[in-house]
Amino acid sequence: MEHWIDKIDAADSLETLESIRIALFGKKGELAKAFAEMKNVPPEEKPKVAKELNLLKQKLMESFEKKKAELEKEALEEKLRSEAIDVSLYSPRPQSGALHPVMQTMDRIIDYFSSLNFAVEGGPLVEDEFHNFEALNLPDYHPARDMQDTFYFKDGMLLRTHTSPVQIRTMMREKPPIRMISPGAVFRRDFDLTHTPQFHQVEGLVVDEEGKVSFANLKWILEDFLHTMFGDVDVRFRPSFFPFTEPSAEVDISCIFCEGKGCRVCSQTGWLEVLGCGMVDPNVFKAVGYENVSGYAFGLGVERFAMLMHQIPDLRSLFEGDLRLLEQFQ
Amino acid sequence: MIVTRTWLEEWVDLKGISTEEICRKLNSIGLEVDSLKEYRVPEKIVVGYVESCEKHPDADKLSVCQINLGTAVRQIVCGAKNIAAGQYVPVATVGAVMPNGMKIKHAKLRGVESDGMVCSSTELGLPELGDGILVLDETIGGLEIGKPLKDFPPFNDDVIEIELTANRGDCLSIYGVARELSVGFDRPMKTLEYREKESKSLGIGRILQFAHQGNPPVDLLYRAVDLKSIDVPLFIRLRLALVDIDITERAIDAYIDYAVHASGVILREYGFSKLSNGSEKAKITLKQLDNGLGAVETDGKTASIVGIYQNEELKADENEKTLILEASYIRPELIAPVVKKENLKTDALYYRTSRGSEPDLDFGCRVLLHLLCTYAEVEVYAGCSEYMTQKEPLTLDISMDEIEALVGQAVEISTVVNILSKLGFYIHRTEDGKIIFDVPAFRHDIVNKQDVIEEVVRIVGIDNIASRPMRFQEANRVTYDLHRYRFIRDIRLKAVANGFFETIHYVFCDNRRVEALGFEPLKKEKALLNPITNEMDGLRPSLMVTMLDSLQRNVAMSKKRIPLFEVGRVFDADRNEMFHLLFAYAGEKEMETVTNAGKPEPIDFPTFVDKLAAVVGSFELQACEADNALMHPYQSARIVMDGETVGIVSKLHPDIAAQFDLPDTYFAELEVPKLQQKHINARPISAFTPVQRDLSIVVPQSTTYTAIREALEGKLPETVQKFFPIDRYTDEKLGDEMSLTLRFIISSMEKTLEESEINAIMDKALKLLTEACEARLR
Repeated sequence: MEHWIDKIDAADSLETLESIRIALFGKKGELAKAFAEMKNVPPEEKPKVAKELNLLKQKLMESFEKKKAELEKEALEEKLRSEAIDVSLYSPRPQSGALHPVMQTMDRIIDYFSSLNFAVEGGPLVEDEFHNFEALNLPDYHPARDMQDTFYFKDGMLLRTHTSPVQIRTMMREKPPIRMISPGAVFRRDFDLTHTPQFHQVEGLVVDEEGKVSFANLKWILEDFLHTMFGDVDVRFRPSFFPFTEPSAEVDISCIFCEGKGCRVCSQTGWLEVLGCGMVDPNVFKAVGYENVSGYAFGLGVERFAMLMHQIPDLRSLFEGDLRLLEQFQ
Repeated sequence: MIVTRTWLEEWVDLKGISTEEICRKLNSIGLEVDSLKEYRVPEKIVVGYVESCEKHPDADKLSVCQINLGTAVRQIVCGAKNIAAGQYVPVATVGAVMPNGMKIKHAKLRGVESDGMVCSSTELGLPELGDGILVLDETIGGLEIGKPLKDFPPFNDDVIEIELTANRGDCLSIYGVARELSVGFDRPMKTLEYREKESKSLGIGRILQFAHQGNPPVDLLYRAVDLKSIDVPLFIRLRLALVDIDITERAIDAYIDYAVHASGVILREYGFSKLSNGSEKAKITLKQLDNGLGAVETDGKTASIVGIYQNEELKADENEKTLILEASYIRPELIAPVVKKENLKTDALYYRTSRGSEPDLDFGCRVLLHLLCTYAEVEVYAGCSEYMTQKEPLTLDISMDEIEALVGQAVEISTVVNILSKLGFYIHRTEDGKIIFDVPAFRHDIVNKQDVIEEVVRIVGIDNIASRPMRFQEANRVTYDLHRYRFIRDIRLKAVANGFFETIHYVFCDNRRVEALGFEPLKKEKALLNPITNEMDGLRPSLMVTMLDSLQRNVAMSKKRIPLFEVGRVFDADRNEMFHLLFAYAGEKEMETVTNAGKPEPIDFPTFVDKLAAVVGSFELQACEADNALMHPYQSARIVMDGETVGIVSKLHPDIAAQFDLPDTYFAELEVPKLQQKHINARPISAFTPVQRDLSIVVPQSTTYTAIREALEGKLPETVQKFFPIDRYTDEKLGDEMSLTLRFIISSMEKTLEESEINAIMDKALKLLTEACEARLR
């Protein structure tokens, strides 16, 4: 019966193996027959024959199970192979949208300042002359008003030209200490390659008791902020003039494109102007009825930050909703 | 304000300081440098003397000149009309490389040899100074034949344009900028050596009668000169051109412009005969006007309003022999409010007077007379006529503690004293760490301590202040606006995760579009007064009104799938500001991929609504009428959350879609304040497996799901966790009816429900639907 082992080994499918199983191990199979023959064996030889037969059965069973496992494994492999797909065909195309680069930049700015315990304050876009100009030390004959081409309404109201009126509203509503930023849209009557009639600013204001807030504090926070936004850049403060702050300064960073060597973006100066700031002018505190306080304020244009950080060449493209620009920020 | 290096050097010693250093210093002390232009005449361009000039034998427009170059006489062919024998001219000799890169070579022009080129100012790289070649004169520093032009300082100057802030009227002159540099570099100022010959023994009183009525708050000073001859020499023309001042035909204008630009004093001139009315004396009266300003009058006519404008008719005529020169000053804070209030006409000098001109009138007159005596032939009348108002100087004091508190760092008292006195402040005394001083009249911008600290800060240099973090009291600064910002940011991020792209549009839009789309534009009395263009004369009443442009643009750019969103403000007719959130989706519902064989289906109502719900959370839709022309009348709905309408969702009306070349487009516009985060209390969940049962009914096709929902809601046992539609089917057999399948999720807290209990619930549902909606079991 040893030849059955060869037969088992030669089986090439689970079906052949099954027919072998029936022929060999079935009720009328060869093994059953061999055991049936036992009754004809003389009693003294029975134990020996039985032992041999059992050993043979065990051997055949082992071969059979081994072959069966082998063939099953092959069959599974075959099945899996038939399920093969070209995974490379399905490299995903991003299904997500994207935040607008200006709004995303604004998010980053708000994140920085709210982490430093600045409150976020909003305000109306339609403002009056008091909050937008007069309380900010800009009487209507002030030459600095030329700097701000204003959209007026027929009833004397206006679209805010900066986010600074929110400072005034906050100070008139709350007592010092104040620690706030005010992000939002602002409007100037100017429309060309480098100006859009609407853009976004973030304004900051800190007010505390007299003597508590100094220019050194203003410098610290702006340097830290600009390093957070732009990385390892040089920061330069230039004295300047704003009616609502004194002393005032404009803040430059070393050009992030040429590392200060001079290029087209920085007009060969090596510096990029990014911020205006200063110590709050006493006339502003007077306008809101604050006494014995000190404070600093700063303001920045979000579009400028976004354009610099993402190398966006055209300001106006930010307002056109063109997917070819927006998709780049997926 | 434009200055030149050589001009500055007339007032302040800048030896050994490079122009780049000057620019750096100007920036650091608060005078922002806009641009720096360096003018350099190339090598091999020399002074030539035109010995003869004859017409070219074969060319009408050319001249053949013999030009003495010192070392030799060369023949040069020249095309300029204004060349003539006896002129000194700049000659580019063979081998010279012009600023535009052209190389000068030996040439033959129409058969005539030419050994160089006679140059115009622009060929030399200088600003334009009239047509034709540049004719040189003595004023450039002598005329030495053969001397290279690069050795004449006026041709080799650095021009610095400064963007002055509105408060620094004192720097609207070469003198003023020089004073700043003198402080910045700690270098002394130079004093002008005036070449003013009072050549006439006659005093000004013999020809001018000057009176005043009242006490107008102005200063006036008059001088007089007799003109023998006047031309504008090259030196003055060149300097004015470098600082971008146009040269007019009247020679005296160039002198006055020059003197004003140099000194910052407001200078004007009148023709003697215009003021004398045929008599021996010119008569001028200064009057105080009702608005507080000072008017200069002659013979009942207004000659000028001090600081505002001058009557052009009273300027000297061409043949005028005697000029009355006027220097004037008025404080800027006195004129600006009046000009604004009365909308007064102003002339070019108002730019200076409104920012604060130089009050030292005698200084300005001396600069002008010096110029006239140097470059023109004049005789100056002795003395002057003047009217000066007594001004008490502003006295302030400041302590070093005050400076330290604001700056955040201590400054030495001696440093502060040095800075202030160099800036022209008069120091009375110092005591107990305090300085008492007068503010100079030309610094009208300085009125309080903080102004003075600013002066100290800018001269000390902000870079020399050490940064220091602030100590502050912690407080809860989580404002309503911060909450709202974060809530919106979460929505924006979900919108992005669901495939939408964020956009920003101007709040401005076209009022005609607003009306055409069925919205009410701003009321007339609240409309924009000065729109920037006609297409931007209104404010958007809805975000979709301006979003149409971006959709259209993307279609034009061949985009097939355009999912956009925006958060922003819109305005009603009363100009109330509302905060909206818009989703707009045009074109294909998915990206082109292998799975859709590159042919995605167009976006449809349910797909759009699913995307919307993925962003803003679940809501119910209730059919509504179109509120405006944007909405499709039969595919629009109110978005209802917790019983409150928070916005609308609609297909874009096909007419509007066609107008903007858009494919099928859906949009949803929501009111942000109504979307505030809900507080959720958790319900207990059952330990037993929920059961799912479907109920298929037949109802008239006109039945809305809202009606079905209302028929069931609140009327089924609490074990019904939720129910929702899963299929709608119509065919011919059903006729005017439709089949609708609802799925019920049923679960009890106490036990596994028996089949009989579930059937009872389903029977009840069917009964309710039959009663309310004529439903029958399918």
